[in-house]
Amino acid sequence: MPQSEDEDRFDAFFADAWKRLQAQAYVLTGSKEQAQDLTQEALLRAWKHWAKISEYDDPEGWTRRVLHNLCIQSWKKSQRSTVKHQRSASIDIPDHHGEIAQAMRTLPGVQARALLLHDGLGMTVAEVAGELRVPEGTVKSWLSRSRRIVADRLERLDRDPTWR
Amino acid sequence: MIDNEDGVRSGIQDMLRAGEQPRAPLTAAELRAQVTGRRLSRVDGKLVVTLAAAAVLIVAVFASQSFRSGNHPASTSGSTSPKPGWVAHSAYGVQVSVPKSWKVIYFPGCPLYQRSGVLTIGVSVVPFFCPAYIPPASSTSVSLSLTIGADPMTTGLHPPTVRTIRVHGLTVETQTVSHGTNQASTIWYVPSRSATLTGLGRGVLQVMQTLSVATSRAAAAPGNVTGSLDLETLQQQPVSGPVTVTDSRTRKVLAVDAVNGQYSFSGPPGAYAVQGHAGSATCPLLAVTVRSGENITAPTILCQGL
Repeated sequence: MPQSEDEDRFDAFFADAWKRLQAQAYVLTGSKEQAQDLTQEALLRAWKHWAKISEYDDPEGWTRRVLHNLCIQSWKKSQRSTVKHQRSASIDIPDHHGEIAQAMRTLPGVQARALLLHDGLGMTVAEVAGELRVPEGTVKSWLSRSRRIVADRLERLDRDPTWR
Repeated sequence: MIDNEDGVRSGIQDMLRAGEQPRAPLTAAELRAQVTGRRLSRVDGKLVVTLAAAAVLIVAVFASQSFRSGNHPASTSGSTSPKPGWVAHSAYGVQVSVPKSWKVIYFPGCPLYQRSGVLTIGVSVVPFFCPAYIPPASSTSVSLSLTIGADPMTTGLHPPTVRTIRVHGLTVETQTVSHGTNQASTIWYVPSRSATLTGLGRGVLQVMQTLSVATSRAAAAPGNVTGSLDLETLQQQPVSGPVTVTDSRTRKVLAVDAVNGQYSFSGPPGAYAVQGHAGSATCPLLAVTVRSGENITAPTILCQGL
């Protein structure tokens, strides 16, 4: 019983994109378990809309947007948890990863995405502006501000590793 | 002092490398299967309550209207009915549907390759010495069996990654086991029925996704019974001779022979009356229930002689 062409194409997309998407979710959540769950959710949504998004030039771009939004939505839920719970949940990740993830959470979602797309995925300012549908000047301003906030947290950790 | 641009960039890229997991914990096919059976854990609790309340309201309205008009509400089991050209087979309280062209084998012995696909139900109690078998890449097979004892998905030295999904109302634990080649088995365990469904081959999930609670429309797998027939005089000894097995529902009689005190028979699930014979000795009538897909050991029939 052969699979349909759609299923074959989705399976290839899944195999290719999983690793990259999960890594991005890890940057935004600071939790490998949560990253895995949210990546699964984003790809599930991609499959539901596959007939449409498989026609796009960049189905991964669509899935990435869904994933980033899911990660940002998850911040709100985790804000209800206590700090103690958050720390115990991320106990197996390096401190500086925890700091970056925490810093990302303090940023407006769209600015965290801009930082991830530019500094993480290596997209140009113009590409980030296109993806987020804002002027390039706005992206530059967001990047500058976001880097300062993330760098501040990393610097504080450098000075005092017991800080947090 | 951390350089803003370089320090942050290298930090994020380090995180991206660390966050990469070379293999996804599930296959794309398993993920696709979740579209028909979503994990409820992802659904917001308030949404569940709201939807449940709405469903209760809708059912109540439909029920009251149907009772008033004397009709029953439409069945909701339509989605589990076999597709045209497919046949549903049941055992252990669950059913799966396969294309009519598939071969269906109960209590199989050695692996069998069938070009169109094979569904096996039950496990043989007879030990087979089979030659090493590597299923051809073109083969598709699904097996349904009973798992007695601990949850097979969470025991073992290194419990694998197990996901829980819902398939037509059944909670299913799922995992994929690689065979070291390009092939991998998909294993679904239904804790509520202690049933395990294993699939291997291309397109096998199309069959597995038909899993649902057994209905009377499905072809029920037969069950096996083995038992002992002994004669008690001064000492207890096995008897060789005829055993009469009567299907309590159809009154159909099966002629079975006991050899060295051992007898066995197979039949559709249901109640049976088993009568042993040992010369002029008196043998009690034994009531046995055959369960679909299962191997049952009946109590010993102890005939009393002088």
